[in-house]
Amino acid sequence: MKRKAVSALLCMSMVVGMLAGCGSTDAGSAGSTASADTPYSGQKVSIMWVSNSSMDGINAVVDAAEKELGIEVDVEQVPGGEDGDNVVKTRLASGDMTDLLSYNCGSLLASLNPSEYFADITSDYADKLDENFVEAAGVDGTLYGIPASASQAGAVLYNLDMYEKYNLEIPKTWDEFLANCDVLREAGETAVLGTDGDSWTSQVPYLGDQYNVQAADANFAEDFEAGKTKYATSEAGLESFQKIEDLIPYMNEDHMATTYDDGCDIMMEDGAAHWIILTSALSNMYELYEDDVNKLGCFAVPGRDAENCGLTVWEPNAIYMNKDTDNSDAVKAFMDFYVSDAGLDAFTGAELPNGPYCIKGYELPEECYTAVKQMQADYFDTGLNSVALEFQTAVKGSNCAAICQELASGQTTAAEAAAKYDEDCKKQAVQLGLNW
Amino acid sequence: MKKKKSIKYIIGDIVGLMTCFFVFIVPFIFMLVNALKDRREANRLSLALPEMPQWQNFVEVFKTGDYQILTAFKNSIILTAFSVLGLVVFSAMAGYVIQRRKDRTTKIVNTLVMAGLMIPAAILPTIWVMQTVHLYKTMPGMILVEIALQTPFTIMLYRGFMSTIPIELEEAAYIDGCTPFSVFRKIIFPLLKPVTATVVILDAVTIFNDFTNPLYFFPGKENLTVQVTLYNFMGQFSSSYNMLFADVLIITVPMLVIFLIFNQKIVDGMVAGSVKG
Repeated sequence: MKRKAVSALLCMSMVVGMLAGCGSTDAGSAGSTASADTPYSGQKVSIMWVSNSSMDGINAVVDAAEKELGIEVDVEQVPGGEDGDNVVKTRLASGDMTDLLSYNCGSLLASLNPSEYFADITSDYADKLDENFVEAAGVDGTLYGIPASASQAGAVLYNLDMYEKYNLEIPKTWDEFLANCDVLREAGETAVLGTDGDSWTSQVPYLGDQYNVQAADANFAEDFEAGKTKYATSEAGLESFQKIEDLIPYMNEDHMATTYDDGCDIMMEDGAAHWIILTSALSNMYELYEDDVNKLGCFAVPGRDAENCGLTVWEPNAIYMNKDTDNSDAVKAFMDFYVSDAGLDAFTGAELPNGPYCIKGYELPEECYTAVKQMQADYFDTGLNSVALEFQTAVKGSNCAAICQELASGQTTAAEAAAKYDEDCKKQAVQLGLNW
Repeated sequence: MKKKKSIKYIIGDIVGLMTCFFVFIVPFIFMLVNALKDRREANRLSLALPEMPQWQNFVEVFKTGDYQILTAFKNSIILTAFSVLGLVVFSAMAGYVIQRRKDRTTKIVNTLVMAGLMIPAAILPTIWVMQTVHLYKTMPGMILVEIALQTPFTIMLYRGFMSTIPIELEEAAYIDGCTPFSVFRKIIFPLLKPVTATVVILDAVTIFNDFTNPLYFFPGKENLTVQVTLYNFMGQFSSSYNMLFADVLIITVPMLVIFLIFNQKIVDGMVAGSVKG
């Protein structure tokens, strides 16, 4: 009796498996015959998307491209973080990469050894893209990628209503910023929101200060990579860490237990005036609270010089083309479409940008966030922006987040944290074969 | 008898029940409650009841990415079913031989198998081997990988249990004219039922919940497994916790069903015993 039941079960699973298998092949052949009059009809393009957030944008572009070009695009999603890194490296090493790969640019790209795996697209796209991006998505002057989304910044998001209520002005220097915080604190508001429960958020005040470091010492990135400058010994570098320490008295009391997700809620409920965070938080808040996100504005982490107050920008992920792809024409066509106005509109229509685009001549859509409009007007139209350190040098200590978190908890001083971070970077510099 | 049940035992019972409640039931309630919230409410990750139960979350999970969760379920179920089948059949035989035969070859084989428990599989060489035999990115290949990874542990379980089966049973069977294979098939394997139930539960849960191995050895859009679908709703910068928990609940169901079925079998097997008169 029981044996019958088991064998029935096995038979059933086999039949189901076979049916399911047949089902998928049927669907495949039906799809390819659908559109015959488009230029690349029936051709397949596969793309591996390493993602940390929403897939809405890429899915919208893929739908539009399938209609426009008649190609069939397979999006293979890979989780972000360490697992994703390992998958990408494994797939590259085993020679089994998809036609296109969306992955970080900057130091992480350099670690993939791009010249061996990715096609050189300098002559096709370099003119159309922002110079900072070209530098970040290329190695030794060769461009490998096109921007996968809009850029973002490490900046201060602030509550516009509160600024109006207490009659504050956007601070141009760090001292003005702290003065604003004093006013807010005396009025009983939480002046600065700390979300150190997620350690990566702790490092944003330090990383987002890169523009100011560079303003004080234009060669900082080069000297740092060469081991000539250290954070602990350079004045401007030390100040970046000092800023984290300065913020401690203004933060919410439970900032060590507050997470990034909590932070989004708190900002939307007028629970805090400032939050130093990556502007990708705007998208998350928009998905949660919709248009309420427009009550937030954005200004750069202030430095010393009121005249030269600029924004530190993170370049978006880039899309790289596999060197060994079989149908490079269709892949190229897809990339062309991706950076065309039609493609960009499809993307931004599904997912509003967290910062300006790195594509020359592309206007941000009307409905984009207030904070992003401010970024565009104050820092991009004026040229007061530079890229974060991780796009300028491959040296980034792996314990950066933990060191900043420790500093924010008040257990170390800024000088100690800077020294620790130098020590941490030294390990990586040695691995990279730099003479530190 | 009843009088002797002092207050101490009652307190003990209560403490035990409370611990169970907090360790096992609360996380489940947490998932259920959050799966029924809208996204903004769920972002708070609290135990509060949802204002309006959002049953459509479960429907949404199915709709995500052109019903890709159905593909994922198909893949995961095929993978789990065939891997477990292979594991039960081959490991039971291997465990039987290793336990019953006492010679040098068996010892070496045993050491090799047990080494598999300690030495992890290297990814790139495995992919290279799979590519050479054209099994990379195929379901049979993935099934073989899972079988290979679980074999040492499963053999260990079978071997351990085998020693509780008296050898006299086999001797009696031989005297009655049974062939060696029939001895295994008709006498030993049925007696292994309790441990087989354990093996099925443990291996099925491990393989069904496996995330990293399918990620490396079974890539491709069509080759999705259920654990990977969780990443649709989870990211560093934005997470939809309501959908995430709804997805978690949906993919917990098959394992729960298997557990409920085989849990009963373990008890049956234990009670029936192996030697009678």
